[in-house]
Amino acid sequence: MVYLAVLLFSIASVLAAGGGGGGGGGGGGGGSVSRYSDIKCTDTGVLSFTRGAENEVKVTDPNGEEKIIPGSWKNGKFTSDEASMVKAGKYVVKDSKYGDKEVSCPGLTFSCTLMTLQLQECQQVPGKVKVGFVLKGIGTSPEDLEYQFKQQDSSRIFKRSKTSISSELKNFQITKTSADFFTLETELAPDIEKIQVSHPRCVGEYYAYSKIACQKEESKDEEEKAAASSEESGKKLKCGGYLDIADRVKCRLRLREDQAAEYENFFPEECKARNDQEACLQAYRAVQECWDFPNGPSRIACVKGQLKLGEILTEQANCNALDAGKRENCNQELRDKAHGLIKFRLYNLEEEAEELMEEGRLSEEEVAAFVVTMEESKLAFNKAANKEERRAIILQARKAWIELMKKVKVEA
Amino acid sequence: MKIAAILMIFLLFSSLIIVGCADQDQISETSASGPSDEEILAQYPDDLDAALEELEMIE
Repeated sequence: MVYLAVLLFSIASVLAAGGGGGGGGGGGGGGSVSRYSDIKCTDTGVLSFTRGAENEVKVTDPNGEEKIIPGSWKNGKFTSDEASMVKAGKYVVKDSKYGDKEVSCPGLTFSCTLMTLQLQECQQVPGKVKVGFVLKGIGTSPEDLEYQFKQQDSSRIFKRSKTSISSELKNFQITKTSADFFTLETELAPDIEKIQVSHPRCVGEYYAYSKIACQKEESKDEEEKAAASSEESGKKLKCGGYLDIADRVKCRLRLREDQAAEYENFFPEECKARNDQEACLQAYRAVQECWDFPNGPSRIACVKGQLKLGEILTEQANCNALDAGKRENCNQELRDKAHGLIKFRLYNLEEEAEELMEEGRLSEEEVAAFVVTMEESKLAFNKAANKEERRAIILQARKAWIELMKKVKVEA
Repeated sequence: MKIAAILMIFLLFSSLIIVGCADQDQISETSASGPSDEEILAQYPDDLDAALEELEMIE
């Protein structure tokens, strides 16, 4: 009996300790990845690993031949160009300092870089769309592509992919007409301005997508026909050319650092919708240097400097001291600059979210959705009719930020 | 007497276990609801109070 009491006592003690522990522990980690512990080779022919020394990467391939692997380094992590490791088998990463490292590659089964995707034509008869396109490359299939149809004079996009289908697209059919040529036919009632075909695995640095204007079959206008038949390649349009804002954002998030120079090719979402596009672009360009400042007062001071915005109340007093004729202009200019600063604060949250993604604490999907929300908030802010509407937009943005921050993974 | 004493100890620890479990439930309920919005903003400031102030000043 005494034994039973002791046993019960010890059970009670264990439960109390468990309850009070609060899930502590965790242990291990320390944040940084140890050398080569994350070495990986994918079926897209990408080799990646972390190694302190950011020097040339040499490997011996399964045939015993030594070669230099092209790629880029970021924070001690190497990522090769796509389709660098073509053959399946054992590769050895040469490392005279820390010792050679062996890695097994599955062999190339798919590659965005080696894929050809080109729209040839898009024709529309009432209620029907017919599209012709070329698709070739290792592991490509028309079933894996995403098809987007942009409605005429509207921002509405009808989509068809492996994961989602717009109900407006009926009897969607793809036929192989020759080795690499396919025909797509679908019923679709609204008038279509453009169609885009992309590969969801290739949204990003390889810009593997194609767009073309849809031509009405009854159109006899030669000029219109010529314009409609000119395909626009993603390689030329880059991230800014995707029809859907979600793809444009995802594409930008996936860019490598060495592609940052291509920024000028991207059109800020806000500027896309504005009449004063050049002024808008200039404002965006001007604030780029402010990212060099740490997040906080110094960054905001930089932005204010770029926007030529001083203390709002002082500037307001100065405007109100002017003649009646100049007063309203002055106040309007001041309002525009202050609105610019407020929108920058939303833009700043996007950057903060991106940093958390780079630290691995938020997923790309989470950040992409948040960036889209912020971009839409900026557009709504520009369209807002009064202070109350603008205030509501700011508060909505705050809500989105809080929701996103709830998903942040705690640092190890 | 011995039996009565053991029974008393048994009852005492049984009630301790029940209280402990109840506490545990409370703890997990609190952590399931997560930190409040204010706590999140304290950890990850959004700087939008400044934006709201700027809006008040300008309009």
